[in-house]
Amino acid sequence: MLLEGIEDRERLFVLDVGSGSQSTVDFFSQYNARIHFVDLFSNELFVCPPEEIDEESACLSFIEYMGLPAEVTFDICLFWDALHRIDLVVLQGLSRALCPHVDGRTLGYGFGTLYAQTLEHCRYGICDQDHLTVRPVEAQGRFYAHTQQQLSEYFTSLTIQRATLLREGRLELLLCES
Amino acid sequence: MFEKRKDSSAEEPVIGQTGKFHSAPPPVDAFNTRSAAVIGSTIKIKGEVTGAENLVIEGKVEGSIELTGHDLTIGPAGRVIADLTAKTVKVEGQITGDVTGSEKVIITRSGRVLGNIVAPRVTLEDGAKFKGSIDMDPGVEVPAIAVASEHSSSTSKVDVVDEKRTRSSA
Repeated sequence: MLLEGIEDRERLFVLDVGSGSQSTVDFFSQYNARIHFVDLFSNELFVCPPEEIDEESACLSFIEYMGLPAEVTFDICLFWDALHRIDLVVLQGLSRALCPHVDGRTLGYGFGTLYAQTLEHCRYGICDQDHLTVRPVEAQGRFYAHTQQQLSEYFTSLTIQRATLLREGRLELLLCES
Repeated sequence: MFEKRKDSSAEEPVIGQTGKFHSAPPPVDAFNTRSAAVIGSTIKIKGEVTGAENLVIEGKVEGSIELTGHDLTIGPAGRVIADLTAKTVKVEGQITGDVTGSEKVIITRSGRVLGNIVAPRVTLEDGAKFKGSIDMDPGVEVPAIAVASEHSSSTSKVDVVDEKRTRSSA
């Protein structure tokens, strides 16, 4: 569903909240696409935020760090497990920073948790229309078991359209514009 | 994808951008160093670098680099702060700036790129550090799927031990 109809798009803008995956690059090289890779995990401010951080400062930090051109509106946002690697305040900041870059045709994809206490931190990529590539990352980092309700409350630029329960209490989330 | 051919000519002296003679440094695994000019590891250049031959950078360059129709290799010790254009660009060192490859761009496992890439084919080897965007050059006819690097995943490499495929329902 995430990738349905993308072949009909003249130009695709993709946000990948990760450090870059060859399979994702290969997949989108079939299309007239521009992929923005934003690796939040290489920035301590996001993964270990200071106590005094608030939504506003987190948002400004994201805007500066991501460096997205103002005119870019994403067709696809690949969050993978990032929504659970940052705390709720930082999540709010990310949401606000993304607001100008999403619209009614933007779809998001990520993982959540129903009752799992952790998600293995992996490097993800798109292999084909139906498959992902998954490679565990050595540094696991912190995990935040946000509930679906918390995600809906704090990450408002996109809303959860569909959640599919996977093994071990993990969820696969499809998001669309609020 | 890229045959790492040992090119005997790489051992021969070549003329660098500074006009001095250099021996092509053996550690550089340039993908096409045949008759390539070399900016040696002690050389620093500020300004505009243009040329009509292949180039290997082991030193530091600040400014801009344009090698239309030729190959550019940033060696492991190479440090570039510049926007650069070439036919193929291989990054083993560090670049801060935008990279345009009319044919392809390769970021090796030791490569670091902070900037945007425009190319019809891009290879990110496992371990490569990249922050920016990759634009699959709309002006170029793109092959069906770019060939993956030996460390990357593709449909033919799903059995790689440390990597697994998972079915997505979204």
